[in-house]
Amino acid sequence: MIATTMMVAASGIAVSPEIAIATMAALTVYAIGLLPGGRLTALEVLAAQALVVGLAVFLIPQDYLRSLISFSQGGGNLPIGPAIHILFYACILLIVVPRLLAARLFESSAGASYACALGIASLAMVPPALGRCDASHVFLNGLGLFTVAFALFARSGTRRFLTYTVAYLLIVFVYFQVSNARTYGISRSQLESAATLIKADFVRLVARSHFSSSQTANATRPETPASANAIGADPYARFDVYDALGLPYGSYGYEKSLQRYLWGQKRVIPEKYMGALDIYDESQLQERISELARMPRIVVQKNFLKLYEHRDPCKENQQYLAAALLAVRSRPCVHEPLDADIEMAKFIDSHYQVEAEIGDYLVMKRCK
Amino acid sequence: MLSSGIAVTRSRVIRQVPPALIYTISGAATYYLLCVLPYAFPAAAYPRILSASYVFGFNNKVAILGLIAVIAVLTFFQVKSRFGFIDDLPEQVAVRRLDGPLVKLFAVASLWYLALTVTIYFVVAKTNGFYRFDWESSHFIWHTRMMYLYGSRPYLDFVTSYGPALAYLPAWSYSALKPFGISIEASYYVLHYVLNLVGLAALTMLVNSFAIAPSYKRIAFSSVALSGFSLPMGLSGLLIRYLLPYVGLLCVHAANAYEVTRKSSGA
Repeated sequence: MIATTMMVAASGIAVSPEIAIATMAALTVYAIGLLPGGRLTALEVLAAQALVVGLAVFLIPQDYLRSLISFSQGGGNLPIGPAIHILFYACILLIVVPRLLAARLFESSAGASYACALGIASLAMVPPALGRCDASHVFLNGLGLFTVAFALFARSGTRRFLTYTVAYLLIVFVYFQVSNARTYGISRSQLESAATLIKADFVRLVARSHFSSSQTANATRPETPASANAIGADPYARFDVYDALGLPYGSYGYEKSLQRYLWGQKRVIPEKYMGALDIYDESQLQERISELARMPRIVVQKNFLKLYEHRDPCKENQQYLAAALLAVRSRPCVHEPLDADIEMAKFIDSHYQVEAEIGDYLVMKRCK
Repeated sequence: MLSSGIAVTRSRVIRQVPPALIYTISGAATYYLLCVLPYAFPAAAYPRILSASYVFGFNNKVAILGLIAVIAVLTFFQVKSRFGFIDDLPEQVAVRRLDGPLVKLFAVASLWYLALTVTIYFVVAKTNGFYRFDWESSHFIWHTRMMYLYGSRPYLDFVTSYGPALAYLPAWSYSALKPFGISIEASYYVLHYVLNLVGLAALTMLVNSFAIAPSYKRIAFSSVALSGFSLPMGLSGLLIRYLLPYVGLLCVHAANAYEVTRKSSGA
């Protein structure tokens, strides 16, 4: 019992802070629910969790809780609107969770404690679902609840079960995956080219298996950019004259081929932040700008240099919410938006000067 | 004595309120508390926050507390006759045998996930353009490169929003597969698939534990498995991550049931 609890609690902590909270909240309520009959088991569950938390505090740096704190203070949050995904999630919460929680009110058994704890796990997943409440966060954080809901509706009759199943498939599968495909732009021609690419790689793999010596040679060489074969290594070879380069816009500001090339050559300056990711407030933004200021030479895409010009962040936020179906009507901005990319672009444009132009990219040198 | 008094009062109150009225009031209250009231409590102008809620003066905390309050009230209004899901769930979930067709569905779902992973890897991930569909994978691959090339440490040398497993596993996966000529991206996709299998196994276990007809279990499993593949390919979107609190709890409950059974049979 102790070993199982420790493993479960440790797994929750290892995955992410909010999952750790949901897991341990559920386990705690389960243990309390076992009282008074299962006093010893309850004690074991609580003690095992306390031990794991103690170990985690000792082993994991404090910054582990950084994102949780940022989110709880409102960072990255989106206003909740009557969007399909939110209405569906809220309906299922209201139908399922009270019944689970009430289980322990009606009877005192391990099964009832388990049901109640399932309800607590679902409640603990509400803040991550409704903080940054786009379809992705709501559906993923609601997956456990939706799964349990299948059981509840199955126990309520065939008609209810089928109604729920159809609604679930239409909303969580079709609506979610189609919106994903639309957001990231998957075209028919891309899908058609899949077969060609898979076939080419399969043929290459089969050929390699016939020449084991060349396979060994491949295994020992450093990571080579795929772009070298596809578009030629020459354009990126011009970066070789620089020892170290900062990539202030992280993985979203550069083509994969360039990223593979620069990382493969070990020319990328390691940074604490990857682009503007995980920046949720002014102090973090300041930390990011200070980090940027320490880089003697950076690479930026030409389009990103004047990223701050002709921007209306308020309107962009309104458009984003409308696209995410989170706003029925446009709301006025009550506070001035803060955009980390825009602030970085301003800093780069005023503190760096162009040293070289390589394809679509600029190598910039710190001048102030 | 006191609790039985409360239960009697509760029961009387509930019987006097028509269910339709409860649903109407709770629906309207939820809408108001979730979508309207939070605008009355905007965040302070300083310190500035990067958030659309901050920009539009919406307070997510108020919304979440409001929803939890409605759930608490609805919990009070539950009556046993309407509750029929868990009360006859056997205590010995650990010894519940796996449904054969469910295992076959697990195999089908594993192949479907493999097809999706391979397709996305070859069609999207291996290309030279910008990250698009595979955007969520980019953070993990970026940090894996930092760890592998520079020995960077999560939380200390770079910021990460997730737990240590999601930082170290890609690095370990690459270290293990590199001798076979596998690139960082390919090793990441291998790991992604393996963890998805773990997620599907967890889903099978969870669904199998429900006290419902096998046909319903199969439909439930298929529906969740079908929708549980997160296309942006981040480890953050894995099925196992979101099922962990539920499956973890099931494991502990099963361990408890096993111990109770063992003790009673021993006695």
